[in-house]
Amino acid sequence: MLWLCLHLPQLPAEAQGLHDPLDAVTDSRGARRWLITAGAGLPVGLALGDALARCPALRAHPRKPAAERAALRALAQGLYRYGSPVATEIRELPEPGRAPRACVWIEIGASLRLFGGIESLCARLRADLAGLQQSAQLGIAPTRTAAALLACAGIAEPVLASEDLRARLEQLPVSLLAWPQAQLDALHGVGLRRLGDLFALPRAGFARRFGAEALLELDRLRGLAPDPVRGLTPPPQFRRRFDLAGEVEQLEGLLFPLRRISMELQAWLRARDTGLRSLELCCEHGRRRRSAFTLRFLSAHRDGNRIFDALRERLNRAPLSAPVRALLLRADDLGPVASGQAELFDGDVQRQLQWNETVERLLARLGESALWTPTAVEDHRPERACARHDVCSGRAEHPRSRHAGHRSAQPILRAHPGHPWPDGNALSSPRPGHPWPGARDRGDTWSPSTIPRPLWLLPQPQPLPIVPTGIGEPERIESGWWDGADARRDYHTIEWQNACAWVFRDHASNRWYLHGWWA
Amino acid sequence: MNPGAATLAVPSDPRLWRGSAAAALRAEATGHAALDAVLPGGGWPLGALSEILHPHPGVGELTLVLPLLARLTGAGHHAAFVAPPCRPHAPALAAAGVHLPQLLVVEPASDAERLWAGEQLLHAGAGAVLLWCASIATTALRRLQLAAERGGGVALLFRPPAAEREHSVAALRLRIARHAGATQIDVLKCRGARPPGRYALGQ
Repeated sequence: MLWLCLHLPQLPAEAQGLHDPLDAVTDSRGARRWLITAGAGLPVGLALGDALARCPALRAHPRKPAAERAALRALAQGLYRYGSPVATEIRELPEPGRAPRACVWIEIGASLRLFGGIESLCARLRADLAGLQQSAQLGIAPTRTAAALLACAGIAEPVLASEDLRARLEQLPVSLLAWPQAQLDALHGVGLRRLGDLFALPRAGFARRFGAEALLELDRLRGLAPDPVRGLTPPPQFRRRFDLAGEVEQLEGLLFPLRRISMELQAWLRARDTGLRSLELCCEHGRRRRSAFTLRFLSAHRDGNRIFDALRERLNRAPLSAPVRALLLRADDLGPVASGQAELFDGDVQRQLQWNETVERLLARLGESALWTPTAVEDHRPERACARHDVCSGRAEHPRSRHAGHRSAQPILRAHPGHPWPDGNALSSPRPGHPWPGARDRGDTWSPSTIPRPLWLLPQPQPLPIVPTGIGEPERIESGWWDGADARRDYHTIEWQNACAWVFRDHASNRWYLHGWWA
Repeated sequence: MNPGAATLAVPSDPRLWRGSAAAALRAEATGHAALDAVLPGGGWPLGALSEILHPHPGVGELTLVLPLLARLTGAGHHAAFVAPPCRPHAPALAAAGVHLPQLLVVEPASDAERLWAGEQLLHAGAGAVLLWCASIATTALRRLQLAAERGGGVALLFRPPAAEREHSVAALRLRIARHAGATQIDVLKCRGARPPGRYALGQ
């Protein structure tokens, strides 16, 4: 076993999103308040009154233990990929003048080869922590308690072999132990200053005087007693709440927590070996008001930067409705990630990924209704022959009737004796033996898309201010009597305003309308 | 030696650098043979901005780019319409051979968002981005040009003919208009060659 311990001295501040040195977190007992995070040159444990006397600009914030536990759990989940088991603990030292000890342990003995040695593993870990803006002290030792002690002492040099452990521990001061202050004072009083002094004492006498618990801890330090630990498993859903230090009115103030949550989500997705399809972000405002939105991704992925980009663009789109107090991110919609690793020499996968990312960014900023892909639908009414295909969900949205499927619109055309089909029209020259409309009845694969159609269509037909003259044969479209959107029109192509327009005469109103441009 | 003979001799002098012999441009054929023959590189410049000036929709501006769209989308590239003036009609596009799933229509609300969306899509390596924008600042043009350079696609900017008087960084500027039932194209500027003149679409 080789344990890596991260001691997080600034966790009480970081869990509340405080990064300014002038923000200090205080613990209290009765009327006494003291600093539990260092900052502005003031040591941990200083009484708040003294601290304010030395530094009047100091802003004191009370502790939020729940936020600390959540932040520690989130961090531990993020470090899940470095080894297993991963364990966390916040050890409370309630006497005035002492700060809680928040630690994360990772068993790295089994993952050293994977990461290419202890230096490379530590370098990666430090880079990860820097990305999360998380300050931590590292300690590496064959036992869990020894690793914690080294981390608290700030000794980054690892102890790899059990034989070296005792020699290294003997040099450490007794005051590092997380024992009650009275006990430490008593040890100090009898002249026991280093752990080596304690190890040299007779065991029975030590247990009688300081308790069996203290002896057990000394044994665990040296690896003489078993040290069971409950490992952490990532939860099946990702829920992360981030309490902000105050009310944030500007988006810039949310970027840091968002980036952090995105990175935590990435780590959680990696730990669960799954990908994210959509997420929900909820902003909590004052007076119990909330605003929430859902972000969908084109493909399942686990890229923290991509998540952050999409969140930022989505929030950029609409200004914050009210100052935000807390962020709540939920990720339930998960799916397997398409691996981009198979095609070593093929840039297509990368290119597609980059494209998807960009489209997601556009979706987030412009809204889901602003992006669509045109799809051809077999319907004679031109306004229904083109459907907006939703980029995001992959569902086609019919221009007018949402319930209508692709095939529900039956292509029906009636040929009128007085209105032959214009020349150049695919319908005007039915093949011999397949006269219209019998061809359709025999299952011929005729479709409206074979008729030439203009490239631009107006969203709504516009009344034409002129009555076209000298026009040729019309194309008659008579359809839709069965679904309430009856259309009986004669279409013509005319030159109007130095452009080629597609106009029709509506039979019902006998008016002329402009419906498109032959661009 | 009389002065007339000297001027005749100059064009054949190998020491004289002539603009038409500039470095070969990477280009994607327009699909219109007459136009391809005169454009440097033989088509739309790749990784550069091209401007198409037209008075209003319906003068043949889409017919001009349809062969390009059909070829790019058929080859699996993406193409995007940003802020089109009307709705692109899917059956007509499909009939022209455009592979519709590769096509994206973006309808941003403001001018700034149009440019932003166009830039993002070009950056992401879109095969072709068609952008409609009436008023556009020189810095925005430059940004589009840079995004096109980075992504390597064809950037087509559709503007009103009044923009002809403005300076532009575009590598190719075409003016398209319809006179007496026929579409005419004027090449106003093309990087790497002297603007060759006027063409009728469909030749």
